[in-house]
Amino acid sequence: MVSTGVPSLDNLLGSDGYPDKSAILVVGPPGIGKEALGYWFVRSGLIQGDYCLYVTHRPVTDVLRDMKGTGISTERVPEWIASSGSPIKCDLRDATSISFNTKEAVKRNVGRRVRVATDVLSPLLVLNPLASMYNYWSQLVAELKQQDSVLFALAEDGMHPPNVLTTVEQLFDGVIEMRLYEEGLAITPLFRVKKMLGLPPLHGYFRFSVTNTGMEVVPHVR
Amino acid sequence: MASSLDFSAGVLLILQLVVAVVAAYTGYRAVVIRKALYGKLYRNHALGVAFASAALIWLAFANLAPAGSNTSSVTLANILGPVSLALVFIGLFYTVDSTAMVGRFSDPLLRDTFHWSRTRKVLWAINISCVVLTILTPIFFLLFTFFLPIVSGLLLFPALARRTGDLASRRHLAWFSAFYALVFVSTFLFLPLSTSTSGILVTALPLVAAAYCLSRSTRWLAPVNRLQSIRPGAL
Repeated sequence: MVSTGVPSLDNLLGSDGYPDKSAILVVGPPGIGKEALGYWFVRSGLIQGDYCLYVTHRPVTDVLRDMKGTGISTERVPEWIASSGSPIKCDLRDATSISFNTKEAVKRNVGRRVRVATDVLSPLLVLNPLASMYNYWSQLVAELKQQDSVLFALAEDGMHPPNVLTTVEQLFDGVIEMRLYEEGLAITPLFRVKKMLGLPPLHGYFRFSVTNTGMEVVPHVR
Repeated sequence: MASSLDFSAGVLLILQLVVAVVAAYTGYRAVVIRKALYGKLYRNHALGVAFASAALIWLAFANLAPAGSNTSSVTLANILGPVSLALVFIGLFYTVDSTAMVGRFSDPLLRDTFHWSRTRKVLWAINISCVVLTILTPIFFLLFTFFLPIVSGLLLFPALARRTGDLASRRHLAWFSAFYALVFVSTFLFLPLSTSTSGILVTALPLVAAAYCLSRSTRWLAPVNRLQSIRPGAL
C-alpha cells in the first residue's frame, strides 16, 4: 500500500492508503483542494524515498508556490514534466510526448517505488477526442502498472460532461469525488470514495477541511 | 407635481431595495462559497464577487436619489466623498483581477489573455495612483478610476469565457460580463440623466438587471449540488 500523505485518509482507506500498482482519480470542481491531495501524496513519497514525478501543464514556479501555500516544504521536490521550468517540457498539443516522457522517467527508476501525480488529464480530454484519449490513458495506466508505481490524476468536474467522466473513471482503480453541497444556507465540501481497488464499496460521504497541516476527514452526518 | 415626485421617489426606493436585497444575498452566497473552498485563487475570486455585490449596493444607494428632492444634495456620494467611490471601483478592479487569474486556470491551454499577468501590475499601479490623486484633484482622476475596472472587465470577461474549458466557469463569466456591461450602461446614463427623477429611474433599471446578472453569475461561481440529491442510504 502507498500512503496518501494524509493520515485520516489512510485510515479511511484501510489504514495504509492507495493500493500498490494502482491508478487513482480525484474528481472535483476547481479550488476545492484536489491539488493539495496530490501535493501530500508526492510529499509522502519524497519522505519515504520513492521516485516522484509531477506531470503538469502549469509552470514549475506556479506549482511550487501553490505547494508552499499548502504548507508543504519545497526543500525536496519531485522530478518535473511541466510547461516551463523543467528539463522535460509538457506540451498539451503533443500528448504522445507527455506519455513517452512519463513512461521513460518511470522506466529509468525500475526497482524503486514510483509515484506519478498529474493534472493534465482534463486539458487533454478537452483538447482531444474521447475515443483517442480513452486508448491513450488506458495504455499509459497499463504500462505504469507494470512497474511498482501509483498514478494519481486530477480531473476538473466542470470541464467534462458526466458521460465522459464516467468513461474515464472506468480506467482507474480508485475514484475519489470531491464536491460542494448545499445544506440550508450553508455550503459544505464533502467527498466520497466512489471505488477503491481491494475495498468494499464505501457509501458514506465525508466532510473534509483542508488546512496547511493536512486534511481532516470526518463522516458527514446530516 | 409633489405627488408625482413622491411616486417616482417611491418607485426608486423600491428599485433600490430590490438591488440591495439581491446583491446582499449574492454577496452572502459568495462569502459562503469562499469559506467552503480551499484554493487561494478561487477564494480571492469569491471575495471579489462579494466586493462586486457591495459595490452594486453602494451604487444603488449612493448615486440614486430623486432629483429635486431634499435629499439630492446630501446623497451618500456627497457625504462619503469621491474617495469612497474610488474605493468601490478599486473593489471592482480587484474582482476583475481575481476573475482573470481564475479564468486563466480554467483555460485548458493556460493562455495569458491580454498578457494579464503583466498588464495587471501596470493597471494596479494606475488604479492606486488615481485613488491617491483623487484626494487632491477629484474630478479628472475619479472618472479614470471609474471606467478602468469596468472597461477592463468588459474587454476581458468575454475573451476568458470563450477560452475557458469549464462549463460552469463559462456561464459565470458570461453573466459577469453582462453585469459589468449593465453597470457601465447605468453609470454612463447617470451623467446626462441625473438631473430629473425620471432620468434617475431610467438609470436605476440597468442596476436592477445588473443585480440579477450578478446573482446568476454567482450561481455558477462554483458548482454546488443539493444534499437532498444524495440517496438517503448513502449517509
